[in-house]
Amino acid sequence: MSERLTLALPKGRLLDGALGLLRDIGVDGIDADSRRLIFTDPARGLRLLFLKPADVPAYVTYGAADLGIVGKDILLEQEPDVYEPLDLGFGFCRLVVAEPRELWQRDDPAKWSWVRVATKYARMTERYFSERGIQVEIVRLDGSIELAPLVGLAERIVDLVQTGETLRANGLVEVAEIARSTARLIVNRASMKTEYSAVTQLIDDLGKRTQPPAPRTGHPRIEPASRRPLQ
Amino acid sequence: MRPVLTQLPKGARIYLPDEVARKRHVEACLFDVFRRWGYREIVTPTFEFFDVLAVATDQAMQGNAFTFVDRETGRMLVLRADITPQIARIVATRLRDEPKPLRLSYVTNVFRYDEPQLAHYREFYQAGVELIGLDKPEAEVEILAMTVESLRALGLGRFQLDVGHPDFFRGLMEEVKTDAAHERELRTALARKDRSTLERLVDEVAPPAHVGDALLALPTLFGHAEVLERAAPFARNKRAERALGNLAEVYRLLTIYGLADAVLLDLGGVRGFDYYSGMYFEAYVAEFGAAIAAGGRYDHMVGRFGYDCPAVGFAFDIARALSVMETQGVDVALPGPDFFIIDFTPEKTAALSLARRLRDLGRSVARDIVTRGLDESLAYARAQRVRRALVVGGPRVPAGEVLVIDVATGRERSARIDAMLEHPERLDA
Repeated sequence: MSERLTLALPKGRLLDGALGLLRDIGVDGIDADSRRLIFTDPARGLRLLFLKPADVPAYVTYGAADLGIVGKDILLEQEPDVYEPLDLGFGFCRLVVAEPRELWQRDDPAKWSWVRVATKYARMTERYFSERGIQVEIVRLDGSIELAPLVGLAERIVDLVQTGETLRANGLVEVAEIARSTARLIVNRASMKTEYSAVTQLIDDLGKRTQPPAPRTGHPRIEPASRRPLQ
Repeated sequence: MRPVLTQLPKGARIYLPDEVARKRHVEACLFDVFRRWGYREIVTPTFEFFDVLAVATDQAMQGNAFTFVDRETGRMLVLRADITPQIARIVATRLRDEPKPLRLSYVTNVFRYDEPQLAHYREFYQAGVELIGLDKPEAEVEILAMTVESLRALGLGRFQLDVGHPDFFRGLMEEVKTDAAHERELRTALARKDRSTLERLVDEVAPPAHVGDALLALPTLFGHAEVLERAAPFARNKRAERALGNLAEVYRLLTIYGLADAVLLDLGGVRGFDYYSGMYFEAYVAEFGAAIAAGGRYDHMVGRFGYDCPAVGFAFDIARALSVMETQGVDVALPGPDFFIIDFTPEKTAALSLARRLRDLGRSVARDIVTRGLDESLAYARAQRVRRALVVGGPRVPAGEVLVIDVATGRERSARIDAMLEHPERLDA
């Protein structure tokens, strides 16, 4: 391949799945444990960047990377102006509203008119509540969101859950689902045209290695559940 | 503490002299292309009654406009959010009886409450053209060819025009019964080539099988000539067929122009959808994630002002063009003044007369009015990128002579002032 494409990868929970997928298409020998942030795969002509997940969309939008792998949760939060051709199928999780069990036992979401919510996902949280006519005060945090209700910082949280174990361990109960997420392949708008053949080839190859998505009905896929009623 | 009055409103942009020089260069390159294709400039008002914009634009555009109230009438005014509706109105009124086609060009600032990103601000500059009164595909090809020529004139490489036609999708949707929300979601998913969301939506909308297949195929109906063949089986009604026929003809003409390689057909691209009635395109340049130019056919816009008349056009986003040129390392020469006169004599007559003679020849001449040493004056001249310094009087220059210093190289020569006043062009040599 003559053109060299740059692919942005998210460090953290999606990295193993992303590297597994790359191994399937012949990109091998990447030492994710090394502290290097750039890795070049000569066979495929790919340059890999290892980034904080929330930074992947910016690299792709501005063309510092031609493609990127990132969770749908981050795409819904940031709404970057990019192409999103593949659901890669791995890294399933859900964005939910949760609150302490004691509150949950006497709480009626239908009566919410004003809530204070701690979250990393300010935009989605704002959108979710305002679509339902509920005023929301957002406490923007960057980690350990579950702590907020325990110390009285906010009554409720909006956060990602995979197994629900962290919520349970902190005495929290899920009250509503906002969205579902899996890993996505995103592509810079210009790269899709100016590197047309290399980019479409890579999309095709990755598409073939992606597990066939779960049946379309009645199964957890990654749709924004925003129009679903509360509860 | 008193507030410091340095803050700009979000999206406002200042151009400092070097930036302006680059901006003017882009505008001059584009205008030169427009002129060579026979276009003539038009100027529209910066503000209008809001109704004018409302007649010819969608709600998103109206919601993004800067509006204020007219003191005299109490009616709503709007800062120019798009020049094309203004030109459409002018064509329908003042230029209605002119022989067609009209070839109009403009460079203008435009105001929109967009989120500033990718070199895009709330006040931004566009240079573009409108070709009015032609319904033939040659008109589309003319604006595509001009766009390619403009990109080349700017010194840009690795660009691609993304060409689509909204009626292919609209034709498909004629066979689908769905609500506005679903159609909007479908468009968003298509604009992102987001296949998995598209699958969910097709599931929910449950269109006839062949339309469902076509909708799912749209993100892949993207590439060179073969796209037309791949799309043909999906064009099962008049509207979609006509759209495909029009694109095929445009593509055939582009091949004759030798421009087919610069174009990618993209039937799944559905941006700027409400605006265009026919072929539309976006110009992308490698390593920049937004289109730097866009255009297409909008046959209904002039008609909304009471005069049916087909039209095509395109516009460049000048700030984005500048940003891409910087990324691609396109050099823009930023010359300073041709001459800088340093006159140490008390009467300054030599300086003033030399300056006048040179300016009469069209040269740019600045004069050092600050009293300082020669070295400091020359340092200033270098910083201003002056080509030549002319020194009169002072310790180094005998009376009646002028010292000509090439500022970049430091090379010097002497000349008689009276000879130079006779033949000022020799100072250029």
